[in-house]
Amino acid sequence: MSDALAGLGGSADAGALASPAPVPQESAAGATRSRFWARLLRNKVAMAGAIYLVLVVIAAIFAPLLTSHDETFATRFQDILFSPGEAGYVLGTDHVGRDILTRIFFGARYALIAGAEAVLVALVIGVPFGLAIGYFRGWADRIGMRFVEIVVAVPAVVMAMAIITGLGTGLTNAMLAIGLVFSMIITRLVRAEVFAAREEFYVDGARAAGASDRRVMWRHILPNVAPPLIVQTTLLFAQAVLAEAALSFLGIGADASQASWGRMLRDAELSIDRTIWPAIPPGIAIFLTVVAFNVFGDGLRDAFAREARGGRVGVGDVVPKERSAAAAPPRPPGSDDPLLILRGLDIVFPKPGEGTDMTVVRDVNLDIGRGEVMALVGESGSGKTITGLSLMGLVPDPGQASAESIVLDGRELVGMDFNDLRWIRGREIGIIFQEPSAALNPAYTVGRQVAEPLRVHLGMSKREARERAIELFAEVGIPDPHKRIDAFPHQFSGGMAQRVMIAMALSCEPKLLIADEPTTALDVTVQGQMLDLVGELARSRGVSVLLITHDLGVVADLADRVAVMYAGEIVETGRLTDVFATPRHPYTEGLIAAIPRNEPRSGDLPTIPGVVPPPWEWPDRCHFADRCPYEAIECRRGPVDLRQLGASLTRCERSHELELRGVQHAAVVAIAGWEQPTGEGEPA
Amino acid sequence: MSEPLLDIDDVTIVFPGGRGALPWQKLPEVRAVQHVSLQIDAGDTLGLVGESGSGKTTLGRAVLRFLRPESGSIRLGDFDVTGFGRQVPTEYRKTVQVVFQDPVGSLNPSMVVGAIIAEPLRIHFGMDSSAARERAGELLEQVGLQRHYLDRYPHEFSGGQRQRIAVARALATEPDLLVLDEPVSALDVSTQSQVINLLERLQRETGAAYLLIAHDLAVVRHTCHRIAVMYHSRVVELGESDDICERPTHPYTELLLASIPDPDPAVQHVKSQRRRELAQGVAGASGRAPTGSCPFAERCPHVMDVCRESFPEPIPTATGGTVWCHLHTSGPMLGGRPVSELAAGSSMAEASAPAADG
Ligand SMILES: Nc1ncnc2c1ncn2[C@@H]1O[C@H](COP(=O)(O)OP(=O)(O)O)[C@@H](O)[C@H]1O
Ligand SMILES: Nc1ncnc2c1ncn2[C@@H]1O[C@H](COP(=O)(O)OP(=O)(O)O)[C@@H](O)[C@H]1O
Ligand code: SF4
Ligand code: SF4
Ligand SMILES: [Mg+2]
Ligand SMILES: [Mg+2]
Repeated sequence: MSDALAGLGGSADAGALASPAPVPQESAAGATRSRFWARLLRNKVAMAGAIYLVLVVIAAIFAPLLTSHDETFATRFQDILFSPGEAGYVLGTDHVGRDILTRIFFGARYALIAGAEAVLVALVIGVPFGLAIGYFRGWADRIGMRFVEIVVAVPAVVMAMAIITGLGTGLTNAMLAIGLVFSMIITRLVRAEVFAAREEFYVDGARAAGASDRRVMWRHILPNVAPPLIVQTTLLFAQAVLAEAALSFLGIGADASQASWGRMLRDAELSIDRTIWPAIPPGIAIFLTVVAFNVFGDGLRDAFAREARGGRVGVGDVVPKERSAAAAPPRPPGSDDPLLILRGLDIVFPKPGEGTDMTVVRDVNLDIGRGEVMALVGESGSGKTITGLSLMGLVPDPGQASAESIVLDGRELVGMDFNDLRWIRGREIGIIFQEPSAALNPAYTVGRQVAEPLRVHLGMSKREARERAIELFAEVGIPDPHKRIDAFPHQFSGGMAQRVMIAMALSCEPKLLIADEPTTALDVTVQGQMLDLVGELARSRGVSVLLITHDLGVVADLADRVAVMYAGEIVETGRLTDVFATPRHPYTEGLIAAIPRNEPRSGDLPTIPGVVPPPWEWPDRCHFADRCPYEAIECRRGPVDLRQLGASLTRCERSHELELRGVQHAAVVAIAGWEQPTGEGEPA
Repeated sequence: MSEPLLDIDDVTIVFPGGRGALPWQKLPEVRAVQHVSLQIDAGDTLGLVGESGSGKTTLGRAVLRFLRPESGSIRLGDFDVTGFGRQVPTEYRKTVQVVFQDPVGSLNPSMVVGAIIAEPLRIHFGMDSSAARERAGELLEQVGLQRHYLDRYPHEFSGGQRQRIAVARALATEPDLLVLDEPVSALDVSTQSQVINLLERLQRETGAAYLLIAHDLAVVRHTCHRIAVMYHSRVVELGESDDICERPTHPYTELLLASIPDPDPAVQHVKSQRRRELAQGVAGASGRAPTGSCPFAERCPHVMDVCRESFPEPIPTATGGTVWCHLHTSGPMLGGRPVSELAAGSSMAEASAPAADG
């Protein structure tokens, strides 16, 4: 392993990256911004639809050039000529001798024009209407929506027929009618999206900046409503094509002089007793066009949806990695019989904008003892969450995790059969996230969600699972568990929802609990109770905890041991008291100095200047060098290994000569160089 | 002393109940802010702390005139904010600006940074696009970012950088007051200090007053001259930062302080025990704000009968602040002295503190 990385470290060119790295099977293409297109292009069905639609557009535009026949008059070969292929009539002629292929080409025109008319009308009416009622809400919304609901309840074609009765027949009138009906669908969609977007802070920000209501609606809300609108428009186009065909078939759409596909079906009916052939080409054309619009719309939706969720649709597992030939790295300090032993975890993601890989977690080793609380600390972007997720086998797409070994309670997980893994993880590892409300399904009662794993993993009956869920609720300190179990997630405050999450994670009595920023979103007084609860679990039940956080105060309260992570690497690990009292890595010192404490102060708050750089900017030498006040020549030689110093491991070239200050000195640390405010333009 | 810049006088804010799942159901109204009076002097910083749901954001939104109080008045400079009609004067929008907590949601994802910062410049100063761009570049540099970021989209930035952009946008109108609604709560500890240092520097440079809403008392202490502690729709203590953080006179403030974890394991060991002593009932499980009693009664280790019967009158504290708590006039008669003078978790607390739930 370290061989491969040494090679990687030595030269930054792409060739070195490609060769010995054991990880990627499929290198997912694409940047954050161009991912949308990449995903769309990879969707074969959607692309087939798109290609077909391009052909239809070409046929529509160049119809007169594609054929020597005329749209309406070709009466030399009358209705006798039904057989395709004769006398230059590729698809034959209809009952009055018109060339069917020609009419199909021209039919594409009418289909597209009709679709465009309907969709245009729908957008012109629906978008402003939806924006207005979604933005102003109140009575405008209530009246508007009642109206919309009534119109939408009636099938579009029926509604259109009613409108045509008033407007008179004809293609444009028909499509106007269809467009009116569709506009209600657009209204409803835009309104719902505006409701959601209105809650976003940038909308308030724009209002505070003085933007008028109109500007807020059109400039700030509409662009962010565009993706679902585009999808819906595509799907409505399909419906419009179908509606046009239906209305023309009924004789209230295109008139006899217009070679619409629906009209062709109607004409074919006149000779249906002799042959059905004239009905087949327009039938196929309508069918394919509708399907093409639909699959293309679905493809757009998928591509947008993945975009919105940041690609967290699929998850992958940790794949095996060869053991490094180099000397084994020093063992992380800890107990002799740890519950979890993680060795050589690497995680790579495709680099945004390019196909190449970037390593976001490198060679992480962790031991977690039984009943021990191990804290993983570091600023965001360090790779803490992704490390925790990989233990759960939940590496988000398109990430690739590999490890030499993950031993949980004596069993090697790497390389194990997927289903066994699922099972073990479900029972033996529990996980809680920062945002409990996001991790609970709003559609089910919390009781059901807690009971679910009990039934799946422990084979409990419905009754037993419910009883146990009530017990669990009581154990995590939810008052009135009998009643609260039937409540929905939104009826819980943040702290209570986090207790539900903990109950869920504990339901199968896991040996390891991964807690990813479990208190970051909570009030401090709630946080205190949550820390007591987790501490109690570890102490009295012997559950091991991997506590992921950036708050050193939380760590000091709860942890037995600490691993400090920076830019994908563990830079220091050891016992809590050792690491906090005598940090061995400048980053640890910086984190300690930066924490605001309830003490009087003078001057600027100490900070770590700058930010965690993105993974593709991590240097081949010490990752922290750009922000380190102690950086010196020896720090520029190359990658730094973890080494033992005192009772801790540290990844710093100068650790042996530095006198770093721990928590007892935090008030004094301001002098040590942490004070210089940020890498920003000017000193304060 | 001259008139304060911002004068919030006896403000009560009520959200109508709205509709339940069934058409005839009406949900009860929410009294989000009750009888709150606060002042901020020009160029000064007032910290507003309290648990989530205590009404801090709602109060801030009333100052921004995103909503109108049911009663009471808000005055900012020469503007009678509660007297505005539906149309808020553009001039007022220029005077007060806002920075939100959420660094992801607070910038329009479909606009480049340059356009985001230029928007208020064009609205309020009528700048043309090149002048606005030039000024936006200056503002970016003022908040410690580089000018060439103007053409990037918000998603290309880290949380701390996004907050800097939000601050740059807020400063664009040269406001007299900045409402900072949890501006650093979503950031890493190290980044928090950077943004706080930045805000302090900008205050020295621009002279803007800040209403800093936060739930971390340690952060607020370092930034604010004065602090108001809110609990469940009420301000329960008000005073100089150091006094509030050293000698709290309200039991909730005391609990809040004990709950801030200290990174020194030895200190925290002692602190967490104190926290456990003080914590009664289940935190974060609060129902509707009561009107005629102390909102903290359900969780207060010192609760007395009188606490459930009336909301306390304001009492001046020994250090020149104000506290709303019956302990100062009944029972132990603290008379404005710090609550630490009571033995915490004393026997009178034990009997009458049921677990609360909402
Ligand atoms: N879904 C993802 N797609 C692309 N990159 C990701 C994804 N998740 C994480 N990363 C990368 O991994 C790095 C570490 O992320 P994370 O584990 O969330 O850090 P932390 O939890 O320490 O804040 C990020 O900087 C990012 O570059
Ligand atoms: N738009 C709203 N409609 C109804 N209730 C609201 C609304 N906004 C806030 N509330 C309620 O008002 C109370 C105070 O909320 P908020 O001001 O957001 O508190 P904080 O900012 O202190 O967390 C809460 O009980 C909340 O549920
Ligand atoms: S190796 Fe050098 S630059 Fe890196 S942390 Fe140590 S002293 Fe700082
Ligand atoms: S002593 Fe009474 S008034 Fe004071 S905080 Fe406790 S419950 Fe409220
Ligand atoms: Mg994380
Ligand atoms: Mg708030």
